[in-house]
Amino acid sequence: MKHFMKQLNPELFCIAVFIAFPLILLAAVLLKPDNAVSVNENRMLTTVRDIPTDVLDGQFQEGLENYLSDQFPFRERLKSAETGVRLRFGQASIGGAYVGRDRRLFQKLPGSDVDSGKCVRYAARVNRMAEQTGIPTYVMYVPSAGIALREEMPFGAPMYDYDALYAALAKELPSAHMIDLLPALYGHSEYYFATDHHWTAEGAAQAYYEWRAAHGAEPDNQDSPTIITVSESFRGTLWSRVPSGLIPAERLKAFEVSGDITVEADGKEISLYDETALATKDKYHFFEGGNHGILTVTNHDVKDGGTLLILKDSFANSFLPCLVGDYARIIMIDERYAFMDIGQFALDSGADEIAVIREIISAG
Amino acid sequence: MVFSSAVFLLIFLPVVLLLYYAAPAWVRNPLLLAASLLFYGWGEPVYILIMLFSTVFDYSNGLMLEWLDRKGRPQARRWVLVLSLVGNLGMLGFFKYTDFLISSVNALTGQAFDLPGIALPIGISFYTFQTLSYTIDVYRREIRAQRNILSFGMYICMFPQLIAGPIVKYRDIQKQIDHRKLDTDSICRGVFRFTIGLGKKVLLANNCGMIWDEIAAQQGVTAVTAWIGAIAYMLQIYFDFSGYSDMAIGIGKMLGFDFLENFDYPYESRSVTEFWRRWHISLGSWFREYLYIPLGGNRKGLPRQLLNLLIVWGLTGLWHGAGWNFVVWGLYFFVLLAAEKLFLLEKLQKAPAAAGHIYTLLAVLVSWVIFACDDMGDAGRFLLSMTGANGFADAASVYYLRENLLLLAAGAVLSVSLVRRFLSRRVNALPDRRARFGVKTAIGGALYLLSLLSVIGSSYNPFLYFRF
Repeated sequence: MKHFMKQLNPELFCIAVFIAFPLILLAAVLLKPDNAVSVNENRMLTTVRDIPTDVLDGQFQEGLENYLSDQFPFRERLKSAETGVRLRFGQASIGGAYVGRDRRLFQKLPGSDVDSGKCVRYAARVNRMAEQTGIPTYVMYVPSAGIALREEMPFGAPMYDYDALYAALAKELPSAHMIDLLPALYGHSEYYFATDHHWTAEGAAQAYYEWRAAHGAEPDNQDSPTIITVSESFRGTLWSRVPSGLIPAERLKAFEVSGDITVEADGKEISLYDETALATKDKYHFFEGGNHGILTVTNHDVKDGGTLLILKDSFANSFLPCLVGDYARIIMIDERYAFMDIGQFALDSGADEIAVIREIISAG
Repeated sequence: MVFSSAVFLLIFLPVVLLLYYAAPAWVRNPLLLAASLLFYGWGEPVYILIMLFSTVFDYSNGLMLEWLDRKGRPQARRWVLVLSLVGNLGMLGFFKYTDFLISSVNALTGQAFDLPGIALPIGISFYTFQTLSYTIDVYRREIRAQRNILSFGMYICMFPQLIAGPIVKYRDIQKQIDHRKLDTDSICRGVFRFTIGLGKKVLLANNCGMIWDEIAAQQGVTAVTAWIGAIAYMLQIYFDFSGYSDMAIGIGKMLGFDFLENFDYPYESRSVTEFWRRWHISLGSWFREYLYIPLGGNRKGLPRQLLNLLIVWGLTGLWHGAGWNFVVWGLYFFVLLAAEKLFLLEKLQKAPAAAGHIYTLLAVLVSWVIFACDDMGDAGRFLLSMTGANGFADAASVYYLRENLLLLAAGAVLSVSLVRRFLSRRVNALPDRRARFGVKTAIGGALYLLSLLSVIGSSYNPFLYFRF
């Protein structure tokens, strides 16, 4: 061997490696079985069968590039190793997330990423609906974790101007009851997940107290919802952006709900809590099995409660169970999946109240 | 196809090299032509037709010029040259400037002519200048026309420098087109050079680019933040462009070609004049040789020289992009270069070296802000931010500084020749040839691996239900 090494021209060896190494990697990509799904990324990967054959419009070329990247050996492990190095270096911005105190993750939302014009137009639409239908309308905007937990964020990390946005939206909504959640949520790290952009059950419970207060309940006369742990191994969407073993999994909790309840989503009966989601990566789908266009919860035990219409984003999914005991019927609409005249629908369905529950930066 | 893609790194380059080295010498030019057409047509197959047209058009013009020369018909020769100029520049003009022209007319006259939305074939600015240099040199009788259309096509389409330079003049490689030697030593140097370029592009330029994109997207940033953004862009454009040139030169060496250098640590310059001798050298020398000197250069008195400079720099700006900001960018350099010619250069030579460096870096930094902002209003606002119009610094400045200091410092150090000089001194001091080789291989190998992982890693793209 030693003799052989001496004989070998090092330049020739270097050239041979430069040519052979990528070809070996290519062979590895081709020979190893394709992965169809990336659980972490929550998307389908390009497999050899997905590569289009159309060369002239460039689809084959694009497909091949995606295939090579998506099926690269140890792709996710390499990403996780890279992320680990970045974390150890103390990088504060990784993969579109901020890494804050104790490696708590935040969605990166500088002002340039927020379409405030769209949010304002949405608010104006809600206000018009409140005026035209005459139905009492409550608007509960959820501040993003990076706003409520400013102190936990990397120092100076740019975020949108919450106060200005809130003021602009409130100005558009004179006919609605605004429920300002920031004071209740501010500074409590337990109210938001460390690996996901949503609020925790504790955070949602705080919102429930504010909701009740806005409905005239005395502050000391609250039925606190009972919170139970449903999973110890929740890794949220932000963890997918910063996938590293250095960031531990956390608890996923939910409200205990009792009573005779039926839930119907887009014409099918489902359960309020989808236990099967707990076995997957997307554990937040535990709440109602994810987002639906129209979801109706009927509580047969509530005889004198009215109908509540909720316009929402996914923050409302974990919040909804708090309200189930208060209304005979809750209709929850996700406007991204349900295209209709919401005002007319509110009147037709006999809604007694309308609630807007969404992250402040999400417009309908 | 781009160099920093999985298809290029994992399939195209190794397969082409393997076939190229295995092939007998006479097959290599046709092979390279085929590979180059594949490379060029990868993104937009229809544009291969433009390449084929250019090849046949300029090949015929070259032969025609020589034939007319033998027949002794100088007038007709001139017409062939004009035909070639109109054909090549016409194509460049059509693809690159039609939209710009129409939108400018609309803006000036208040009309609303539809923009045809013509897609720019990649690299057209580079290879048009290559073909022009060929015809002009044949016209000037400085070179013989190429008779083998495959060899000529190979020169026009050669993939290493096709899309981002350097602009390789035919006469600089004419001997190598038909006779080139392949030896392991220069192939290896090519491999090393390629990995350096790949690292510059993927590891430095791309990351610096993200800083600039983020900061430029924000309104009303403070001075410190704006400076971080501008410096990041300044480093991005250098590492991106010189990285591409390094890769082109490296691949050229692997194939047996010696392309001229295109960058010579331009940020070390002590004047803007020097900067332009060291930045994108092949473009500067093209304009000097085929435009500035034919216009009379500096031989017709100062006013005429200034006019010539104005023409050259207006067109240099326009060459970089079809937008008014590029014209302004070119004219900005005209003003600086004219001032240096008239009095500034003399003063700079007497001043301490540091003054020249600072002046040049500042002048270039400002130019890049103009270059980067399509909208002149945006450029103006950004430059104002840099002067502190929105305050000196805020918490975000601290964040950007802390987050990027390491990258920017590394970029700054690597953009000058310091590290290179230090390393080559140390490496060359090693007594053993194998040890020297080992160090270079280790550096190249590490750069290659990290770059490849970064290219693959950029496909990691969580589809998330944010906003849901």
